[in-house]
Amino acid sequence: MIPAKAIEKLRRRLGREARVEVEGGGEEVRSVTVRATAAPHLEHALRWAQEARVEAYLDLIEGEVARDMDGLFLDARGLDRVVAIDPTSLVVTVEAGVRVGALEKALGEQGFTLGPVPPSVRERPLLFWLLDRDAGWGSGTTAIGNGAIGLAGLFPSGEAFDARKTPRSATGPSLAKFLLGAEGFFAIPTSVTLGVRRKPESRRLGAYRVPDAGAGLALMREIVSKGLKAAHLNLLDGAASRAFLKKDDCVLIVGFEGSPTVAPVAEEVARDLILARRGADLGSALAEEWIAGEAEAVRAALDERYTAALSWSNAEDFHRRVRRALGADADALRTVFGQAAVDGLQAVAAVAEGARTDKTRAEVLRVAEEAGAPLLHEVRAGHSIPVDRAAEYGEALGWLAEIGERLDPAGIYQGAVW
Amino acid sequence: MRLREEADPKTVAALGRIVGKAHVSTRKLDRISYSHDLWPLTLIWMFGDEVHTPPDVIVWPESTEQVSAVLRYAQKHDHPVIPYGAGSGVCGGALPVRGGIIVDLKRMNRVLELDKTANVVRVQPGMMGQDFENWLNDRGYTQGNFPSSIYCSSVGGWAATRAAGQYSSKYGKFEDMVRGLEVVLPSGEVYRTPERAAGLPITGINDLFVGSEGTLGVFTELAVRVHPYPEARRLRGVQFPTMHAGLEAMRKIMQAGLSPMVLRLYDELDTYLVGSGQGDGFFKKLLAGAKKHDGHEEKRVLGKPREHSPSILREASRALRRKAVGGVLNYATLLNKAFDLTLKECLLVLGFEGDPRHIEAEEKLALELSKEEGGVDLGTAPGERWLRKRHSVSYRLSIVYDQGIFADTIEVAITWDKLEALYHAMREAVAPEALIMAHFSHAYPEGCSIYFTFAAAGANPKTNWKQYGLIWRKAMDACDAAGGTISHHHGVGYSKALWMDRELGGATPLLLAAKGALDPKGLHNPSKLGFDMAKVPQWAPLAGGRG
Repeated sequence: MIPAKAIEKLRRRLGREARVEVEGGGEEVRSVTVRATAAPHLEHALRWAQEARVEAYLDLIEGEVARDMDGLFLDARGLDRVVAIDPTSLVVTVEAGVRVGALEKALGEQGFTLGPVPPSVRERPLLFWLLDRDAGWGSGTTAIGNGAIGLAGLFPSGEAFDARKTPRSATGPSLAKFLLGAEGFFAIPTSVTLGVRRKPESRRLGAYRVPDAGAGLALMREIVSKGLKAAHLNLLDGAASRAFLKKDDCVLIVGFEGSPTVAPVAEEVARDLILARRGADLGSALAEEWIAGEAEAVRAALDERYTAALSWSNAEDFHRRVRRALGADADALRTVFGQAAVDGLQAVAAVAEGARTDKTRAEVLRVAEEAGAPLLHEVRAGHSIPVDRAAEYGEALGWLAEIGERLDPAGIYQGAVW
Repeated sequence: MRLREEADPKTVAALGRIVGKAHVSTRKLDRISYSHDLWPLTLIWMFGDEVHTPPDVIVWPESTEQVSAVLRYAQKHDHPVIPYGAGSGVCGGALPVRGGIIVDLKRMNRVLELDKTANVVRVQPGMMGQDFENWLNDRGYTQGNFPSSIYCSSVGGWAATRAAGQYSSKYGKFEDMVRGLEVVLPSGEVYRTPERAAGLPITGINDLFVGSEGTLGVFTELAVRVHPYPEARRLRGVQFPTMHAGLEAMRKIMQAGLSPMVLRLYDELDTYLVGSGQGDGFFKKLLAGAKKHDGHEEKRVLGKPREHSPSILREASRALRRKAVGGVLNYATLLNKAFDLTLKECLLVLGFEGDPRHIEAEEKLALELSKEEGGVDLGTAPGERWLRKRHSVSYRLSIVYDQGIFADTIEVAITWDKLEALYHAMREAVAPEALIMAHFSHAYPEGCSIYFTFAAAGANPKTNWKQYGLIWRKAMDACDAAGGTISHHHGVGYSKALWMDRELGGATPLLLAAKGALDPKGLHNPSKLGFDMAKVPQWAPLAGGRG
C-alpha cells in the first residue's frame, strides 16, 4: 500500500502534464498509474519509487500487467512523437510509446517504410515490439530491436542515458542490444533510432507448390545461402496452406522488392532454383493473396501460437516430430516458417481456433526441447507468456539479476515482462 | 632494460600444474614480447628501448577446463588476467597495465565442427583468421570477415573487439556473425550463451560479451555463421570528380538495398597515393621502401637491395631519408593544404560476390547510381588490383617507424547526414600535427565508417609519444564533438578509454553493473574500456596528451 502523502509528493514532482491515477483511497492507495507524455515524467516517477520503495511496473498494454498487484504502473504510451525523420541517413528517431501503425503511416507520408511489419504489433506501442520476442511470422525483416542504431532510456534508478547514434561501433559491448534483448528488465527505452527504407519501386512475388516441408525448407535455405535478400520468404506447411490459402500442399512464398534492375533478376534466380527442385509455379496471385491476407491469418492465430528458433539442421525434424506427437490432431497446428537467415529460421505454430488443448501445448514444448529448438515466444489466450528463462539462460540468471540489482538500488523495478 | 618483478615461484608452479610446466613462462624475452600488442604507441616505446607493461607470467592453456582452472586460481590469489589472442590489437587492449597473467589462447586453435546444413561452424578462439578462412574455403565455405590483420589476428580477438573486415557491407561485422559463445567467467564458471539465427529476436547475452575486450571473461569457443563460398565475383573502379560525389554514390548504393562485398572510397590524397602507387598505398609512396621481388617483399635502400649495401651506407641513407621525410612531415599543415588545393578526384572500389546473374544486376545498378553522381567507370583493373594488394599496407608499420616517423589509423563512424562534417572536423583537428588522409568503407544504409591514416615525424623517439598523444586527443575530441562513434571496429582498449563515458551517453552504469556482477575484483583486463581509469599509470601517453 502506498501512503497518500507519498502520492501527493509524486504529483508535485510530475506537475500538470502527466496524469496520475490512483486506485483505492483514504490514507493509503493500492496502486498508482503515471500516464507519461515525456521521458522526464518516467524519470521523476522512477526516482520517486526508489525513495518511497514502491514497486514499479512498465505497462506496455492496458490490462497486460496484472492489476491485482500493488505498486506504480508506468504507462509510456503518451511518449508518441516522431522526433525526426532523416531522409539522408534513412533513419527515424521516435519516442517509444508511438503506435507502430501510426509510425508506419507517418513514414509512409514521406515515402518511407519500416519494412514488413508483423500484423500482430501494428496496433501496439513500438515499445512493446522492441521488448517483445515476437518477430512476427512475416519475413524479409528481422526483430525490430536488431535494427536499432540509437537508444535512449532510463535505468530503474531514474538515471537517463542516450547512447550515440551510429550505424555500427566497437566501443565495448552493444549495450543497446543487451538492453533490448533483456526485454526491458534493465531499463525502459524512451526513444529509439531505427533504420527505415524507401518504399520499393518494384515488387516481384511468386508462390510455389513444393513436395513436402523438408523440400520447402531446403529451398528456403538455398535461397538465403545464395545471398538473395527476399523481402518475403515463407513456407506454409500443408495444414497452414489449407487454413490460410485453401491449398492442400506445402506452399513456398517468395518475393523480392527494390529496384526494377535487381528485384526481377533475384526473383528469376530463386524461381529457377525452385523449379529445378520439383517446385510447381502457382502464380503470383496466390502470393499476393497470402501477403494481403496475412493480417487476417495472423489475427486468426493470435489466440494461441508458439514460435520456435530453428537451425537448418533441426527444422524439418522439429516439424515432423510435432506432427507425429499430435497424431490425429496434427492439422490443428498450422506451421509457417519465416525469418530465414543463412544460419536458421523460425517456425510459428498456430493452433486452430477452438482446438486449443493443454495436450497440444505440452507436446509442442516437449518436442521443441527434444529437437533443440528453443521456444522464443508463446501466446496463450491472446497474451504473451514469458518463456522459461531458467531453461534459456541457465546459470546466467543469477548474475543477470545482480546486474539488475546494481541498477536498481531499492529493488523496486519489476521490468516489463520478466 | 629492467623489468619489474616476475611472478613468484609458487604462482608459476601452481599454474604449471594446471597447464603443464612447458606452457608457463616468466622468461624475460616472453615477458617483453607480451608487454605490448600492435598499438603503435608500443612501437614508439620499442624504438625508445622502453618496456612499460610486462606481464608477471604467461600461460598457454589448451582447453576450456584449463582456462577455467587458471581463472579460479587468479581469482583466489587476486592476479589480473589478460586474455591474449594474437596481439594484433591497435588500441592497447591486450596490455597488462597492472601486470598479471597473460592467458594466451593460441593452443586453442582448432575448428571443432562444421555443420554444413546449418551453415554454422564451431571454432576455438586462438585460431588465426587466415587459417580459419582457409579451413572453410577447403570445404566450400567462407566466413566473410576479412580484416587487413587477417594473417595476424585471431577469431577470438575478432569477437572480443567487435572487429570488421573489408567485406562488411555484405557480411556485416564479426559481431553479426557470432551466434553463440562459450565463455569462462572471471569466477571460473563456464557459460554458454543461448544461440540464435541472424534474423531472430536477440537475447542480449551474446551482445554483452561480444566487444567486452576480455573484461568480462575469456572466450573458449565460438559458434559462427558461415556462407557457402560465392560462385562469382565482380570488381570495378569508379572515378568521381569530388569526394562528395563519391560519397553520394556510396550512400545511394547502400540505400538501394545492394550488398556490395566491398565499397571503398579513397579521399583525394589517398586516391593519389593508391592510384599512382599502383595500389601499394600510402607507406610505399612515403618511403619508397619496398619492392616486390621473387614473390617476397624486400626492403631497398637507395635503389639497391639491403644485403648489398655496406652498413655505413645503409645507416647514412636511412638517416638522410629520415631527415628528408621527417623534414617534409614537419610542415604538415602546408602539406595537407597543398594536397587539398591540387587533388580533386576520388577512386571508388566496388565489388560484388554471389550468384552470377544476381551480382551482374547489382553491379549494373551500382554503376548507374555512380554515373548519376558523375562517376566514370574505370573497368575491372582498379578493383582487382585492390583485391591483390588489400592487405599489404598493414604490415609496413614497423618499416615506417624504423625511419623515425610514426603513423597510425583512426576508424570512426557516423550516419550519412553528418559524415562529411565529421571527416572535415577530424581532418582539420589533426592537420596541424600530421599528414592525414582517409578512405570511407564499411558502408551501411544508415551511415559509414571513416578510416583515417596519419603520419608525423617526431624530433626524438623518446618523446614521440607526447606528439602521438596530442594527435589522438585532438582527433577524438573532434569526433566526439561531431557526434561520431570513436571506434567502428578497432575497439577501445586503452587508447580510447578516456572518451568512453561521453560515447556511452549516460549508459556507463550498465557497463559498470555488468563488470561489478561478473568481475567484482576488477581483475579481468584492468583499465580497458574505461574501467578503473583512476588507476591508470603515470606513463600513460594520453595522460600526457591531456595537456
